Amino acid sequence: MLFLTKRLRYILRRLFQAIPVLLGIAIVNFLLLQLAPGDAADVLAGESGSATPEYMEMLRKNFGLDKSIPEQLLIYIKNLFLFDLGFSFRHNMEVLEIILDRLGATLLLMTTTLFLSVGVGILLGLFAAMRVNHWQDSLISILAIISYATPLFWVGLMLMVIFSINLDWFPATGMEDIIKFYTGWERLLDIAHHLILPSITLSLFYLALYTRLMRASVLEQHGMDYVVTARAKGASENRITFKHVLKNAILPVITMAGFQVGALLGGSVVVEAVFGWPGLGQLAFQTLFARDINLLLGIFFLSACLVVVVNLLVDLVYTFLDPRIELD
Amino acid sequence: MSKNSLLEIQNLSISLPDGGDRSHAVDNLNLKIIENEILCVVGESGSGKSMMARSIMGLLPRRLKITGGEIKFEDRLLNHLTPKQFQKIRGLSIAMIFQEPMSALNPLHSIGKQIEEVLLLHTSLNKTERRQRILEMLSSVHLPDPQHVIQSYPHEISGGQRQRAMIAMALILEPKILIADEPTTALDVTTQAQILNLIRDLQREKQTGVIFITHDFGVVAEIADRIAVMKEGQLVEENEAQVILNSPQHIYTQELIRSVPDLKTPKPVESSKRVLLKVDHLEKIYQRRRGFLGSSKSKVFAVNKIQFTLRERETIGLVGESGSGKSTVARCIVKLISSDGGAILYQQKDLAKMDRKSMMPYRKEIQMVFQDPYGSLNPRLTVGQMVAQGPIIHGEKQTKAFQKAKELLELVGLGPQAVNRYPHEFSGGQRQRIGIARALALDPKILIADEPVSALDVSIQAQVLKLLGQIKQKLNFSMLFITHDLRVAAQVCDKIAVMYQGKLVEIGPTGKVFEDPQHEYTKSLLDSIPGRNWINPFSKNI
Amino acid sequence: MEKIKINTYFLKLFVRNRAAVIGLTLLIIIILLALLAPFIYPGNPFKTVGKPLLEPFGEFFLGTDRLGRDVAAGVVHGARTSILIASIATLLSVIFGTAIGSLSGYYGGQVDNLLMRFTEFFQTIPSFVFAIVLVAILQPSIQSIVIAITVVTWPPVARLVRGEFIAMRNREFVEACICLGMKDSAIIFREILPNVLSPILVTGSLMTATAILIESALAFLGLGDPNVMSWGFMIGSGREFLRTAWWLCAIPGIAILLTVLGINLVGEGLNDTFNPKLRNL
Repeated sequence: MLFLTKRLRYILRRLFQAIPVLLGIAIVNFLLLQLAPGDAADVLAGESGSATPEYMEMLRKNFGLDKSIPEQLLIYIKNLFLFDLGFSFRHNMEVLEIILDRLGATLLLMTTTLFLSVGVGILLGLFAAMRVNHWQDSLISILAIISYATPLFWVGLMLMVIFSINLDWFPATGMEDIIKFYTGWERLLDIAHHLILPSITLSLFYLALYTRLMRASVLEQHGMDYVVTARAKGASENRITFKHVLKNAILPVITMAGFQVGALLGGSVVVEAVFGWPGLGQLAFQTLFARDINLLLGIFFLSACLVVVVNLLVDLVYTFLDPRIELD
Repeated sequence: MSKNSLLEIQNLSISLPDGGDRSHAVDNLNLKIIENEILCVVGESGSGKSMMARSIMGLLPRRLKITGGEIKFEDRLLNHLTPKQFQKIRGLSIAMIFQEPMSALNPLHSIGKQIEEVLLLHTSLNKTERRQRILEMLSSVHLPDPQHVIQSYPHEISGGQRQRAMIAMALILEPKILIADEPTTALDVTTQAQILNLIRDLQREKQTGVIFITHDFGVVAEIADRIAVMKEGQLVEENEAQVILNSPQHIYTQELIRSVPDLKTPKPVESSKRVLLKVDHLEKIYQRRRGFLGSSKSKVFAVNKIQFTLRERETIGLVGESGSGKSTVARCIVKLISSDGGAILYQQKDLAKMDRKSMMPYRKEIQMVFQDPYGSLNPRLTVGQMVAQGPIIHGEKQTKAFQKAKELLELVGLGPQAVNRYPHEFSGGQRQRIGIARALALDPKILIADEPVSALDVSIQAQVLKLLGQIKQKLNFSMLFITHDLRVAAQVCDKIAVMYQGKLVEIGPTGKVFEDPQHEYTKSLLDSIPGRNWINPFSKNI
Repeated sequence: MEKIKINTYFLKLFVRNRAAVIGLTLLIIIILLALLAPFIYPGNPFKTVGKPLLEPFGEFFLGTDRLGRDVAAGVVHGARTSILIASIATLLSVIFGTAIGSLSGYYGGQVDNLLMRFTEFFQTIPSFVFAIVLVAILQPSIQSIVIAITVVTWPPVARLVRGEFIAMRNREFVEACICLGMKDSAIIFREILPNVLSPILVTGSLMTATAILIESALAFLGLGDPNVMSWGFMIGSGREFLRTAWWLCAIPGIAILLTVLGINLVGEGLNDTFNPKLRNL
C-alpha cells in the first residue's frame, strides 16, 4: 500500500509542477494575441466583420479590453482555465466545442503512431544491434538514415501516389467512408483502413529515430560491466540480450519518446493536412487560411495541455521500468 | 604437503589490437593455480594481470585474442572451448568477481534475482529451494537482513554490501576456482579489511583456489599464500608469499616493494614554528531538500566544526575514508566551495568571509595540487601555457612567466622542452609533475595536495612523493596532504589529522598517532590497513 | 604547429568515413547550385516560361508546373531559400542556446534553476504548432520564419551545452583555474568553451537539417514567404495534380531529401570523428 501512495504523491506533485507550465503557455498565448494585427476584440471574434456589434460589446466586456494590460492578462487566464476559449463565427460553435470534436481523431492518429514507431523501432533496433556489421544491420541503418531525412508531407504524398492512386490499396483521404454509414465492427475496420497511410507516414520519421536510438542503446549496454558479470555466471548470449540488456536499453528510447510528443503533434498537423484526416491538425490547417487567430490560439493552448498530460503518463510508465527513479 | 593443481596456464600469449604501444597483453605466461590457496597476482597497470584472468574464463574483449599456449582445467583445454561449453563451466566450476560492484550488477534486477540466475543456469532446484539457498548464502557473507537484501536493488545498498552480494553470487555453487579482479580497490579501507577477511574465511571453508588480482602490496601481504609478479605481460617472479615479501629476488619485484611506503617511519617532530594557517570551527552543511509533499529537509554536516593549525615548513596529513569531509575541507580553504561557518585565518585575515576580489592576493599564498592526472590539465593548452597562466593572471609579463615555467618544469624533472607539448603526450606521473609545477608557479607558502598520488601506480607514486619531499626541502613551503592511504601519510606527514563523518577525531604527530591511537575510529582505521604486520625488507632505504 | 597537426588528424579520420564523404559531396553540389542559381536560371523563378504541366526531360529539364513555371529553376532557387533560412536560424539558435546553457551550467544554483525552467517550458510547447502560430501571427516572411525556427529549436542546444558545462565545471583543470585566480569570463570563454565546441558543432549541423524540414513544412502549409521560391511551396502547389503530374511533388521533395540527407551524413561523420569511442560501434 505504501508503494501506491508513494506513486500517487509523485503524480500529484508532478501535476502541481505542471501548473506553472500551463500558466506560462496562457501568458504566451496572451502575448501572441497582442502581437496579432488589429484590435484584440477583432481577433477574438474570429473574423473581423462577421460578428454582430452586440457580440463585440460583450466580448470587450468579457475580456476586459477596456481595462489595463495586466488586468486583461488576468481575465484572459481566468477564461482559459475555465475553458472559455471564445466563439467562432465561421463554424458557429464555441471554440472549445470545435476543438474537442476533432480531438478524438488526432488522439487516434497519435496513439497509433506512438505504438507503431516505438514498438517497431525497438524491434528493428534490437535486430540491427544483434546483427551488427552484417548486411541486415547496414540495410536497416541505411533505410533509417534515409527515412530520417524525408519531409513528412512529401512522404505522405508519395505514399498516396503509390498506394492510393496507382495501386488503390488504401483510401486517399478522410477517416471513414461517410456515405456508407458503417456501424460497429465494420466502422472500426473502415476507420482502421483509412488510418493506415496517415499513421505510416507520421511513423516513418520517428521509426527511424527510435530504431537508431535503440540500436545504439543496445550496443552501448552490451559493453557494460554487468554484461561481463552475466557471462561470468554462464549465461548464454541470447539470455544476456533478452533478459539483461533489453530492459536497460529501452529506457533512453522511452525517454526520447516522451520528448517527441510535442513534435508528434506538430507532425500530425502536416499529415492530417495531406490526408484530410479530420483532426486538430487539419483544423489548424484550415484555420490558417481563414486567418482565425483565436481558434489557432485555442488549438495551441489545448495541444500544449495535451503534451503536458502525455509527458506525465510517459514519466509514470518510466517509474515502473526503472527502480532508480526517486519517487520522493 | 603437495596440493593438487587445479588449473595450469602454459605459455599463454594474448595479442593486442594494432596501433598500441605493445603487441601483446600477455607474453608467454606460465602459472599454476593450486587448490585451497590464495594466489595473489600483483602488478602495475598494463601488466596484463586482468587480461590473464579474463582469458581463463573466456571473457577477453573482442579485439584481444589468445595467440599461443594452453589453459588446462580438469583435463580440458579452456582456450579451445566453444561458447556453449564455456557457459557450463562459468559460475559452476570457475567464478569471477570484479572491481566495481555498482556497475558489475544489473541496475534493473534485484539482488535476489541476480543471485538466483546462477542457480537457474546450473541447477534444477525449485523456487523454494532456490530461495533457501540464496538466504543461506547471504548469511554466510554476513549481509544483515537477508530477506530485505533479496528484494533490494543494487543502488539501494552500500558499496561494501554490493561486493558481499557479488561474492555470494560467485560462491553459491562452490566453484573450484574463484577469480577476484581487484575486488577491494574501489572500497574504503575499513570495508576492504572486512571483505578481505570474508574472502579468506570462505576460501578456507570451501577449500577454493583463489586468484586474487591486485596492485596493492599491502593487500598481498595480508592474504596471499603464493605471489606471482607480472610486468608488461610477463611473469617476473613467482614464489611462496613469505619468500617474496621478505626476500624478493627479481629487480622489478624489489623495486615494487621498495616503492611501497612503509608504516614504520615516524618523522622527527621539529620544534614549533610560526603559525601560517589556523582553521577554526570550520563548517560546511549540505541541505537535502525534499518537496512540499514529502518529508522535511535534512542537513548533512560535510565538515563539522573542524579546527587545526598549520605551521611553517610543516606537513599535516588529513586522512579519512570517503565521505569523511577531507576533500571538502581542502576546497573550503582554497575557496572552491564556500564554507557555512567558522574561520580560515591566514596571517590573521579570515579567508572564509572574503569575496572573490579580496581573495585575489591570497591566491598566491595557497595553491592546490589535484588528484586526477587526466582531468587536472586542459587538453587544449600547452604545458607552458598552463604553468605560466597563474603568474600572468597576477600581472607577470608573458616572457618572464614563460621563463619561470621553464625553470619549474626542470625543477619537477621534466625538461624545458616540455613547454611546447600538450598534456596527452605525457604519462600519468608526468602529468602530476606538471600539476605540481603549475601550483608552484605563484610561489605559494602553503600547498594543498588533494590525493595527489592516489591515481598513480605504486612505483610512480614513490617517485612523485620523493619529488615532493625534495621540492619542499628546497622551497620551504607547508603542506596539507589529503589522502585515504595511511601508508602514504606515514611517509610524508609530520602530523596526522584523522577525519570521520565531517569531524576531526584525532590529531597528533605521525609516530604517536600510529603507535598510540586515542580515538576508537583511529584504532579501527589503523587495524584495517592491509599488511600492517608485514615489515618491508627495504624500509631502511626510504 | 601542434594545432595544425591535430586538425589534419581529424580531417583524415573524417575522410575515411565513406558516408560522410557522400554527404559532403551532396552538400557541395547543392550549395554550388544554390550559389549559381542566378546564373544558371537567371531572372524570376515565378515567371511563366512555357506551356503548363510539361513532363520532365522534354523542352525543360524537369518540366513545368500548372502556371508554366520552370521546375528546375524553382528547385535551384528554392535551394537558396532553404539554405539561407536554415543557416541563419541555426546560427541564431546555437548562439542563444549556448549562451543560456553555458550560464546555466557554469553558475548552477538559482541561475541554473531559473534558466532550466525557462528552457523546459519551451521544450514542452509543441514546437511545430508554435512555429505555425508565430508565423501566422507575424505574417509569413523570411524574417518571421527565421524567428519561428530559432524560437523552436534552441532548447535542445541549451540542454546540451548545459550538460557539457556542468561536466567541465567539475573537471579539476577548471578548479585549478579558479585557484589561480582566473575570472569567470576568462574561464568560460578560454578554458571551457573550446573544449565544448565539438558537440556544439555536431548538434548545430544536425539542427540545420531540422530547420530545413520545418521551413519546407511551413511553406507547404502556405506559410512561406510569398516573394521567394521554396521547395515546400512547390510541393504544396503541386498537390492538386498528384494524379496527373505527380513529378511536381516528387522532384522538390527529392531535393529536400538529398539536402537533409547530406547534412545528416556530414553531421554524423563529424560526430564519429570527435567521439572515437562510439566509432567502434
